[in-house]
Amino acid sequence: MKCKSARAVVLVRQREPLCQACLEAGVSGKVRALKSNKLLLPGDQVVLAFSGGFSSQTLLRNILAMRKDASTPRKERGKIEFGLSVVHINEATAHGLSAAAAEAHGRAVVAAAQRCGAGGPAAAVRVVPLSDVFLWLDGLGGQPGPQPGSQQQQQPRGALASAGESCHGAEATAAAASAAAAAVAVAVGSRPGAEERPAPDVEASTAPGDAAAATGAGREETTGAGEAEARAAREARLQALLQSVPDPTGREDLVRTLRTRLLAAVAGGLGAAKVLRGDTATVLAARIISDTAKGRGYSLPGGIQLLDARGAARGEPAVLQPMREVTLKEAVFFCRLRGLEAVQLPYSRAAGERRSVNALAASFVDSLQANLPSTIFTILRTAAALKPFPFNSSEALAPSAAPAAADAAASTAVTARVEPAASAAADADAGRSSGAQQPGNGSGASECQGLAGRGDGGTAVVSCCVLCRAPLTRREREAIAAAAAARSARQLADQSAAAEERGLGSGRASPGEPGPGADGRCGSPSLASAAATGAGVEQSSSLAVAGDEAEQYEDELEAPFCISCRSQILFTPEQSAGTSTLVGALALSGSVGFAGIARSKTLAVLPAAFR
Amino acid sequence: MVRVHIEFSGGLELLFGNQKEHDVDVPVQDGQQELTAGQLIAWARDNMLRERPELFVKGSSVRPGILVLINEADWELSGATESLIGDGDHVVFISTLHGG
Repeated sequence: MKCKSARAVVLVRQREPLCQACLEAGVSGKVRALKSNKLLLPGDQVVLAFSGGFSSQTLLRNILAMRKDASTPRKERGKIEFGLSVVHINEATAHGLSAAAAEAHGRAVVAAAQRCGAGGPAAAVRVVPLSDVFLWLDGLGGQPGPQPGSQQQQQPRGALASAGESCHGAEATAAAASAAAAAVAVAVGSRPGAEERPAPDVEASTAPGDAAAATGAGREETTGAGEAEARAAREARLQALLQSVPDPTGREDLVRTLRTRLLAAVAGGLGAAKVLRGDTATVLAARIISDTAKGRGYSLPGGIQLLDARGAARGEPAVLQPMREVTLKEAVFFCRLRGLEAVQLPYSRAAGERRSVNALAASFVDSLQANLPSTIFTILRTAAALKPFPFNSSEALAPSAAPAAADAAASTAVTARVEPAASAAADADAGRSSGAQQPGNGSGASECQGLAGRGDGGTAVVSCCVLCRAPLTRREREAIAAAAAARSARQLADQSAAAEERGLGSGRASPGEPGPGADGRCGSPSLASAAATGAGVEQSSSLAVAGDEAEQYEDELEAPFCISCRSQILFTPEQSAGTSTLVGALALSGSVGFAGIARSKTLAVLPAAFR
Repeated sequence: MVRVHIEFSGGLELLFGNQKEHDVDVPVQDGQQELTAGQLIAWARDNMLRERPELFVKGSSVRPGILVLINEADWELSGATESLIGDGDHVVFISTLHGG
């Protein structure tokens, strides 16, 4: 017992009894580490990701307690003056709820945030539906920030407005919150036939005119039909996207990725440079287990630190996880003892349906923790032994003066981490020009460096998965580079063979070349070496034989996704000769010929920014 | 009979007819004035649970991940399943299934 005076109410960690005051002091002390680590500074604009659960509420309460009240000029010791927005990404529909239930859930979350002390103009609460990810990250070229003169810019503003933005007006807290909920309600609730899904409209055209005319909470009249239709189309598209993923784990991961990226986009739109997440130690421990199971060992250390600024060079907000040393149990008791109720989505899994890897990992950690209270911290300590990335250190927060220089620096920093030869960038140019003919893995590596070294016009190079933003391993990058080289070599070959007949292909077919539908394993050594060498000419001949399907497939190989996203979310390789999904995916990304033909239904429906 | 006020939170209420608060009379062995928490859990599983028992119980205790409070204090302080629940006590089951 810490203070040895008050009554103990909870047992934390290794059987340590705490009273309420000591529990609260412990939790707030950990959140306050933001201040001592200089990660939360006066003048910062911050978005708090609020799910309505116990850890979100605990985080919100503690963050508000750290904040200096801006209305009084009196100095308050220990408090910081920063701007705060509370954002809830409403993914209820992704879990199968109807539009009306989703809207009710959104209202409940707003109420929960208000109970924690948010809701005034100084801590506005916004509810953003997950389907808005198509608004923000579709056709904006991956740059969720403001683009001058772009018509698309109108849409996110409209979305923010209809989500109840109250930045510009000093509206009463209750009025703002209820108006926000009403705006959401009107937009969502007016969709006809909420129960049945309309035919997925992949080509959802959200005309800028609709969104520009979309009204916000401040205005009385609502466009009704135009905005509601657009929203319904986005919802349908979201459902189509989720249905295209056959695996429950992949689906959950995709929802998580969309949520994370939408949060970053919304935060960027609000001018916030930092996003606070309430992920607890318990949740992180489960994620460490599930990430390891999915083969994400390389990118694992990047996502479990206090700071993750991997997108800072691109202008994306940094992500902070101040609750990473607070267990979920502490957060639950923190809320419970203050009378705060959590808002949860109902269990979405039908009885008998396969559990996801994430759910299994969480249940594993919970079971172990029940008998061995040191479980969570043992897992965290073990993962802490992995070296974090440069973007996990607070230096990554410093804004860069020249974007091109920063990108090159960031990418070489990441690649230099695994490839000591930083000067390979110079070799790469030479290597690339004759890349198609060079044998051996060396050319694969230098090809990667080539791609990494050249920031074409300052754009970010492929060092992170475009979907989940996990750093790409060297193997993944090599595979992507090899596919890109093969494609460009194929284009060269096509051009040179244009006048002649395509017999070039059939005559030069490599031995053991499989046709479509062949075994996907890496069992064909000749093809393996051919692919690894990036011998584009031979590969192009094989491709010419297989035709357009293969070309589309090659494009997918070239797409910059990590193995985990590729195998779980994006591609559905045919199950040939018992090839497991992961092995099949590895085979695919190793550019080994044709593992059946991968049909990526998901890729087509993904927002443009992810491709 | 021991009268217990049971509360379900964190999504558990959906397994119990979507009702958060319950006042129940639990039968006890002759001569006893109290029942153990383990007995209460078994009784709740048999008499109150509408569906999906595996989400509430595991063996003789609650499923790992479900927190139990007896009179607003952690039940682990009083012996977990061996904690004694008397007449008028308030027991809360909170599920942490979805994190937060």
